[in-house]
Amino acid sequence: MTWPGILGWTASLLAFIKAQLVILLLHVLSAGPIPRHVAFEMDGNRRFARLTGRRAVDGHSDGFHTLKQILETCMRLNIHCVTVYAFAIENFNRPPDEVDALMKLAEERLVEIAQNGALLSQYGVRLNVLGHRKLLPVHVQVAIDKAEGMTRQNNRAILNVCAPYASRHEMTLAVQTVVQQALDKENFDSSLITEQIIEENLMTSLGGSPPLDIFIRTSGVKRLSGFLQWQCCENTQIHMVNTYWPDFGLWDFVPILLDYQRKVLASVVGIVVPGILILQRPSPNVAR
Amino acid sequence: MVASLFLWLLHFVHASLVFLTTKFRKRRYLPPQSLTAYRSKLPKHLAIILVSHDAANPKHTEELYLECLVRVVKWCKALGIEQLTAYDAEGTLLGCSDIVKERLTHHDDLPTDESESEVEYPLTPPLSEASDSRSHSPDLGDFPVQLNVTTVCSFRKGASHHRPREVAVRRRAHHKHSHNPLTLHIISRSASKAAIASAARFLSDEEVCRRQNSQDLDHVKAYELPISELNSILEGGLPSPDFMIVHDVHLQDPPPPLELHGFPPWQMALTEIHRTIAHDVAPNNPMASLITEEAFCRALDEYAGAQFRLGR
Repeated sequence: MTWPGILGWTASLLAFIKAQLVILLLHVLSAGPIPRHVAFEMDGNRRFARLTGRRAVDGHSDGFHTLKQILETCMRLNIHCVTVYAFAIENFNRPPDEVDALMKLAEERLVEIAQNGALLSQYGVRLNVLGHRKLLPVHVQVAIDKAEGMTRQNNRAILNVCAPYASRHEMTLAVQTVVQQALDKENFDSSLITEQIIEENLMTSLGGSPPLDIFIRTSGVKRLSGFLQWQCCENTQIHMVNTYWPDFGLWDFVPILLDYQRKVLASVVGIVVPGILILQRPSPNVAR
Repeated sequence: MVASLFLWLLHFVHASLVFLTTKFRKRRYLPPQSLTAYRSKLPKHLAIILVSHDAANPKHTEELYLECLVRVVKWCKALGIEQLTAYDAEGTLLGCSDIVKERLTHHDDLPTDESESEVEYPLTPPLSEASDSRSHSPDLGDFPVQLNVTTVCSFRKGASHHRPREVAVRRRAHHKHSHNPLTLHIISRSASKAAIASAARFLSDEEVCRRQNSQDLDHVKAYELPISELNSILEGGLPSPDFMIVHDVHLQDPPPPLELHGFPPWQMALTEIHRTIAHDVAPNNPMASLITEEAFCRALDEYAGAQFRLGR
């Protein structure tokens, strides 16, 4: 065997071992509490590309590859719902050629992952594209309708792709819907409008998403930037990691999951231990 | 069972690594710039979220919150920060807003020719801006929106009673004892999602009334709500902060993941978020849970270094 052959064989073996270790790691993690809903603000694609002297669109392509990997990790962990911030309404302010490239990426890749045998069908994931869809070019809207249609029957998990999205737009739309519902009813008592009803009319809720457990923003920026503000302001663990999105992987994700598990286990101990102490307390009628 | 054992091992390894990393970071600790050092930018509106995990001692928590607030107000005034929002989910500060006002009026650092403070309770927001689709008629009546924001304005004695934001405020660092006007908003969870629900009720009642009084047959048109209209209601009670500091009065080292504890979601779109770290708290200090000037300065250093691309 030649040296290149030996090196190639070794690389394949190492890749196989690494893949098996990852499967083992995910299996171990699954033994503990798993978040129901994780959101990713996929930031840093352009800066990542600039680091290696490439164009912004190349960074977005790398970012999509990372999205597929992380999505598969989440599915293996049985995370029921994943929400990603793909395109903000404000992102239309970017240079036109970059916006066009992003629209093309969305048009091609959404259909690609929704097809039979691809990632979404493999794990039974239903695709919801959330946002102000009318702002998108018609050909992208058609592709989205097609991709959503391909996955409509899937019911094991949900992937929300927010594009083009802004949280204030989502909250306003929810309030508008609730007010319209009130107007449609005769003699409606407006005191029946509660925060719960508004929450039920958010785009994420209408798509069947559970409450948000973990919010992750990459690239070191410490703002929400209009992503899931209602959903993450309460009982959600927020992680702002320095890694750029194309580089985000298990090394960043596993500690975040361990933090979540610690929180859940601490709350269980907080209930169970006092409960055990109450059960062990002697009855006042027992003679000592 | 075997997987659970390996999971506990994984947690142990992770906790050990975090402990060692924290120790290593402490050795490389660099103090922040001083309060009055030059910074390229300062927030115009700062929010502080005060968090406590000690439900058993509410009185102690109240004392800690009050002292933290007094300190932050002092530093904000020294720097010319125009607005400060103090938030705690349970409403501890809201429940003692009179004590807050008293403490701020009698604080030692205030000069003798001192500012007065006036408590305002804005229950009825300004009428929303006229939109193309609706007009406001005096016949609509008053539909108060419960935004649940307590606002305390401080201004110099003898000055005319004008709203603080009309006062010119220098943006650069000041002498420690200068006293710029400051508007303080005190809020709790009741100003959060509940305020949006209150705004929805207001809009519903307003639209019902408008349609009843309208001569046109446009009641069959779908109701449309511009973002700007909802924004004018909600920000009319509480403007959006530029910067937010989350401070846990029972700091843990290492701290648990950041949470926002129900802070008003509408106002957080572009707010830079910072959390105080245990190392900035003075060691061997019995009141070690209070926010220190060092922690405040580190937060400002971080804000000064933040970049805003606004979607571009």
